Amino acid sequence: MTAPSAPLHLLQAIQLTKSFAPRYQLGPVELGLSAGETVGVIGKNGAGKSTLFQLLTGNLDASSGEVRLDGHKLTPDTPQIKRLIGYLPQDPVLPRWATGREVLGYGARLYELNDIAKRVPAAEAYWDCGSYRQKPLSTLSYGMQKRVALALATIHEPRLLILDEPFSGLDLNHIKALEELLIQRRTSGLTTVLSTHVTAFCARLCSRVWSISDGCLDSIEPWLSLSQPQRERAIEDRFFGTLAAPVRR
Amino acid sequence: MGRLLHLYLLWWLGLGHRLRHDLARELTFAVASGVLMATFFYVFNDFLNVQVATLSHPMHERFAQLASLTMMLITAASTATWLRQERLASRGVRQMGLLLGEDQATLTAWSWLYALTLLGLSHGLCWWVIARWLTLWSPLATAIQEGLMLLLTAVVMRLPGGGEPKLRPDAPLSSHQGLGFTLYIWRLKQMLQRNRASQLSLAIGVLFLMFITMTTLRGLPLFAQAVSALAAGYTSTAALYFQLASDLSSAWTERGSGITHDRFVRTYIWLGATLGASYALGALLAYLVGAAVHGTCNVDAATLGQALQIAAVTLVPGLIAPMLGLQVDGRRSGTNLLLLLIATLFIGTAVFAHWLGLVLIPILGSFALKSQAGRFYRA
Repeated sequence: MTAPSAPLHLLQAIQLTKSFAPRYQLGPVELGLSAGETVGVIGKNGAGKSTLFQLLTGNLDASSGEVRLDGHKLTPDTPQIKRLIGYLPQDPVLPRWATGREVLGYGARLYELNDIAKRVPAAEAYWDCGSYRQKPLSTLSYGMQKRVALALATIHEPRLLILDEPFSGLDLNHIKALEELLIQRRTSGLTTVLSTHVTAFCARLCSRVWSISDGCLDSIEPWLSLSQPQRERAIEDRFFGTLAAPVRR
Repeated sequence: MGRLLHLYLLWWLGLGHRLRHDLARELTFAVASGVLMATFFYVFNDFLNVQVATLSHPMHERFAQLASLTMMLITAASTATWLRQERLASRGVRQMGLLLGEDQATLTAWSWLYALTLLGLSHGLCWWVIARWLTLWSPLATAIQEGLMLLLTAVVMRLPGGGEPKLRPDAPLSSHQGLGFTLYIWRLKQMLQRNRASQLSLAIGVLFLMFITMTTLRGLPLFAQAVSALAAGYTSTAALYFQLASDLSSAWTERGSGITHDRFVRTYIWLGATLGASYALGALLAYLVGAAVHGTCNVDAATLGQALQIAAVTLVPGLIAPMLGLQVDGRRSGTNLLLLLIATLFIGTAVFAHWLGLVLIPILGSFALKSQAGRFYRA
């Protein structure tokens, strides 16, 4: 695990592929993400967004190629590197009979954080989970569980945050809280990758947008020079244009 | 009538799709289980015959009846669970019909048709196995027991869902205590205080420990205590698999914090050893208490040796369970329990036959741990 000096990108995917032959292949994906970027990923259901995220978090073995985080190759056996990432899956199942407080405390211990007594209440306060922190998670609504999952994914202030459809199931207050968090992360030089089907969020929050179609990742260009309505239009054009073809499964 | 048949057909098609989707894995598992079971009976046939011969004929009959009753209980409880799942599951045929606006009469008819099909299949299989291999009951006794099975099925189906458990107030948030300890203590707490399936299997394990004392008190051959010990070890270790299934469904929380496959499995090895050692100690004491009372408090070296043998047999499932938990699919407790049963029968019988049987555990471990390497991430 020798680190090259001063890596150009925080996250790098080099000739990354994942094959579920003969049905589907993702890649080869070649990408680089710098510190402070917020990248949106769009694509049809089943296009491979979640697979890409699983590969980028090191939770899925690539068929070929590699992912590098801060210059280090990412594998399931590189715990110190993996802790630089915070990840929220699309369907964040939590332990059924544990409470939110217990899960956050457990997560903080797994991340080996030193100030657990401060971090856990702070995360609960930000995500408004304090009122139900003693209740078993199985008795909570989907949105309430999602807030605990978001608190868990962000409790260690990761350098790279990967969120798979984070807005689904949240109410307006917590959508706002998530938007504020993403903006705050960008200004603090922290990197975020998120997938969403809501064009307004992509247009408002992202410094770049990638689209996935037929296993290929493509950037929407130009982007930064566009106004927000133009960005939304660009996403819709891409979606209803090249992405409209049925996904091969 | 047409719509009822349509629902019934949909259910069969769903089963077919599931089989088609998982066919390779399920077929491999079924064939492998069959081969292993056959090998077990082939290898240990003579040994088991000798052991069974030590039991008197009435005792032999009583064991067969006990096995039949256990099988009936399991069948009734499992059938009730499946029926309940179909009634309550959001993805069940009944719920789908309800959402699509199907009328109540058709849905009620569907529920009856489904229940009759399931009862016919599960109870039919149960009675066939009992009649073929265990014991033949008189027609009247069969009818009464079938009635009791149906009653038990109805009772389990109507049990309340459990609701919100009463949880103790949180412990103060402390700093980390080492990753290994954190993983270990989290699971231990879940198994003992939260996971109901784990709690139930641990309690059944205690019942089997009591059987050891009872069979010793009645002066039955050591084989009877060994069977109880194996059952105690097996049922208590089942708690580990129920917890594993629960852990893997929310594995993203641990994967994200960099928990490696090796660390995950190591935690389960410690948990298995803890459970196995606790129940083995319980079995040792249960046997010694029974022997002391039966032999009017005269425990000699031979009795102590037998007690250690019983303890070793109890320990076996706890030691081997973590090596098998991720071989097929850790989320499927039923599959894992079948795999553990086969391995436990093999190694437990070998250990009971001779102490050297213990050597099999590290041999199995070295192969099994290699073959399930990395599966915490692929589950």
